[in-house]
This record gives sequence, structure tokens and C-alpha cells, in this order.
Amino acid sequence: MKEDFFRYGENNRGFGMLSLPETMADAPIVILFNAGLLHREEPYRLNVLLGRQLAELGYIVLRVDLSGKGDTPARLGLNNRESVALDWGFIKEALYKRFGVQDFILGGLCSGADNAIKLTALEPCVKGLILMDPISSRDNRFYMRNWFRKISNPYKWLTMHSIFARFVYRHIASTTAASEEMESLRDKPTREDEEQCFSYIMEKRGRVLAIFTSHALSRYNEVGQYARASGIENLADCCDEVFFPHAMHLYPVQAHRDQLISTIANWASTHLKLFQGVNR
Amino acid sequence: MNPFFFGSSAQPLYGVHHPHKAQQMRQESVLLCPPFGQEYMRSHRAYRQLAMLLAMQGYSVMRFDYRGTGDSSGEIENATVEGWLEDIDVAVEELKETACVDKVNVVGLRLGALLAAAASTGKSQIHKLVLWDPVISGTRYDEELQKAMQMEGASVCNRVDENETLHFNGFPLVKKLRQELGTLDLLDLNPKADKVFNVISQENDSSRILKNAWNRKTNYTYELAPAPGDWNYVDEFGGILLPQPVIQAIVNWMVK
Repeated sequence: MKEDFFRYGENNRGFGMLSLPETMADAPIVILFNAGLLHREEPYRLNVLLGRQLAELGYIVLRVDLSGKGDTPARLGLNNRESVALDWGFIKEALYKRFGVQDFILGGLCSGADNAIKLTALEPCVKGLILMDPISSRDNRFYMRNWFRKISNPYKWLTMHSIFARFVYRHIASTTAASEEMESLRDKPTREDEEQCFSYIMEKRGRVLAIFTSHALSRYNEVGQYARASGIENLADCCDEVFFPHAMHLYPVQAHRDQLISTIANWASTHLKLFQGVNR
Repeated sequence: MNPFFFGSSAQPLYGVHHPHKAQQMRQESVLLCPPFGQEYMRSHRAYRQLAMLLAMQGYSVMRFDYRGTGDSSGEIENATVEGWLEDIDVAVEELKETACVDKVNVVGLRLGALLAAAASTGKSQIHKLVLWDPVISGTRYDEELQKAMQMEGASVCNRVDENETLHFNGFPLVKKLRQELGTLDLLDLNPKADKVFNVISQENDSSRILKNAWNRKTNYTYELAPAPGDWNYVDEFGGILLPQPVIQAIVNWMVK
């Protein structure tokens, strides 16, 4: 494995870092997007470690700074969606020039996952998605499972007073929980984005890996719910779901980070041939 | 900006060179030494902006990542103070060569300031040294982190494990690194630099101790540039910190 720089966009204004495998022939390309405002390395070097691990398996991995993040300057006068779409066009072009590849696997955590979905919906050039804490719809039994999870948790009973106090405070002060506040800031994919995105993935016989943490508990609480609640027919057939209810959103615990990276590496290893197959 | 790898080919370090953008290049360059852990994540944008502003003033500027951090090779678990000081020495030499100047100024933020000061007493000859919200000693840093851990309450990401690795905000400081950092103390180090600028965003015990100890030094300047300085704060938004008053104070002092 070795690493190299990646430039894209007008006057090579955009920047990213490539982790390259020993053998480049037929190597599929994974692109990892920024989460929130963080630069390409991600919290706890997640993208660095993940990129290097996937490169060992035979993938070319690009961790890229989209405009306004890390080492790529912001684009003025464009909203997030426009700016990301413009960046994506340049990134694809630069990757094609360098590697001759036209099918990609996109991935990211939080807003990185949102961007991956929105970009996949633009045109059928994405064969795989690695989504870390994407927004999941709730299914019919979500609230029942949620309620059961809460009442069967002895810790909740022991801390009932503080839960009640928090509820009253939020009600009086008209504030929202941090997770809800964060969700409201996300430029989420629309229903149309999701439908188009997954229909392209299915058309290309691609694969999706969706990984959820405790951060998603207000929307997600059972493996299989993401595909089921999306209402997209046959999504479950190409979507692998993993739920780490004890892990936190940014994976600050080493053991959870290791678990995340090995889960993605196993998935990538399983589907390496599939991703290699259509790249050329 | 020009990214490049430097150091040994077995363990390359990641660096970024910002060539000067002024009409006339100054015969001095600036190396930025990053902090560690969450502080590194939160300061990336601030360092980038500082580099660009200094480049506009005619300086050749270089940012880099220590081994085991950022885009450099290696794992954080294998990091040592000796290794990081070596990285600073190599970076100083690299910058001299890239910028074709002999005078190197160094800016260090938090732990980066302590390491930069330590590096100045070794091989690296430093002209101007900027200590930005410096960690004044490794022992104090360790105590500070443990105190913050107690306040927040022990958790899986804030704890000292059975190997005496201190996990703070999820970043591990292994026993060896903690012990080595414990030997570094700014008050004992007496940095070898022609001029030292100590810039503080928020006064605290550490900054007062350093100010009182060094105030009589003729080459020492202290400035309080009030700005947000909660470098270790963690949120789920991936929040960054861009303390403009401090950045501007550093640029102003450097060009003076």
C-alpha cells in the first residue's frame, strides 16, 4: 500500500489523498467524503485507517475534502447541494483521467452518507455505498420496539427523574435534543434522491452497506429496518445492515472503531470481485 | 499549497508547503507544529488560515503531521516524544531546503508548542518561536486531561485503562508517551530562539505561571488575544475553532 495526492477541480483547487493497492489493475475505487465540517481524515483518523485497510484488500481509496472543508477552498455563491454536485463532477473526471474507471463506491459518515446518496441519485455511475449513520425512515413497529427498549432498560428506570427533568426543561425552554438539533442541520437526501439512488444501485446490481450507531436510535432500532422502511422494493436484497447500538456517532471508542473498520473490510472483501467485475 | 511526503521512505511524513504569495519573499520561513488529538481536529482550519495569511506576508510556510497522526504514516499507539521531536527536526530541515532560506520560525499550538520549544533546545535552530495556548508541561497536561475526565465522569472514551493508556475524548496517550511527555517542562526547557511570542486566547493558571516565570526575559513577548480556546471540546457536528484574534496577533507579531 502506498499513498499519493489527488487534485481536482478548476486549477486543481480541490484536494484529497489516495491509498493505493499493490496491484492497480481492476482495483475498484472507493471515495470517502467528509463528515460535517471535519477534514478528510475524519474523527480519530477513521478515513485514514479505513482507506489504508481497504487498499490492502485491493481497493483504491480516496479520502477527499469537498469544497469548504479541510484543504479545499469553499465555493462562493453555491448552496451545499450545488457545490457538492460540482465537486463530484470534477472528482469523477480526475479519477477517470488517472485510473480509467467510471464506476465508484461512495461512502461517508453522517453528512458524508447523505452526500453519497444524493450524488448516486445524479447518474448511474455508483456501484456500491458505504453509509455510516444515514437517515433511516421509521417503520410501523419502530415506536413499539423503542418503547419496549426503554421500559426493559433498568438504567432508564433508575434515572427516570433526570429523564423527566430533561423532558420538562425542553418543553418549557422549547429546546430540542442535541441529536434532533443536529438532524435538523443536515442537508438530508430527499425521498426522490433515495428512490433514484437505490434504483440505480439495483440496476447496476450493486451493494449497499448501512451501519448504524446509538446516534440513530431516535429513528432506527432494528437490523433490516433501513431497507424495509424505505419502501423501496427489493432494496433488502442488495442492502447489508449492521447495528452497533453501543457505539457512538463518531466512534470515540477504539474497540468500536476496530469493529467498524473490520465490518467494512469484511464487506469489501466479500464483494471485491463484484466491484471489480463491472469496472472495466 | 503543495503537498508532499518527506522524511524516511519507510515512514513518510505528510507535509504541505504554502509558498509565499507576496511580491517580495521574506528570508524567513514558518513551520506550524500541530497539537494532538481532538485539538488537532479542531485546529486544522485555523492552521490552514494562519499558513495562508503568513504566505501573503511573504513567508514560506509549512504544515505537517507527526508520525502516527493525520495523513502521515504510522499508528498513534507507537508514537513517542523522541519520534515527534525528530519529526520537527526533519520538518525544519525540509522547510529550509524547500524555501531556500536559513531562518526558520516555528509556531506551536498546545502540545505542539511544548514540542516546538523542546525541539529548539536540540538540533533545530529556531529564529522566532510562537507558543499558542501552550501546554506548559507534560505532567500538567496529563493532570489537566485527568481533571477534565473527572469533571465529565469516567466513560469508555475518557479513562485510564489497565495498560495505563490515557484515553481522552477517544484519543489514546499510551503509557510510554505519557512518561516521555512528563519529562518536558517549558519552565525548565529555556527554548533557544531569538524571540519568543506567547499568545493566549484565554488566561488560566498555566498561562499565568509561564508569564510570571518568563516576563523578565528580554526576548519574551506575552499577549492575550481573547478568543474561543476550548480546543478539547467535542460535539457531534465536527465543530472546528477559528480564533481570528489569535491568528491575527501571530501574523502581526511575526511581521513586526
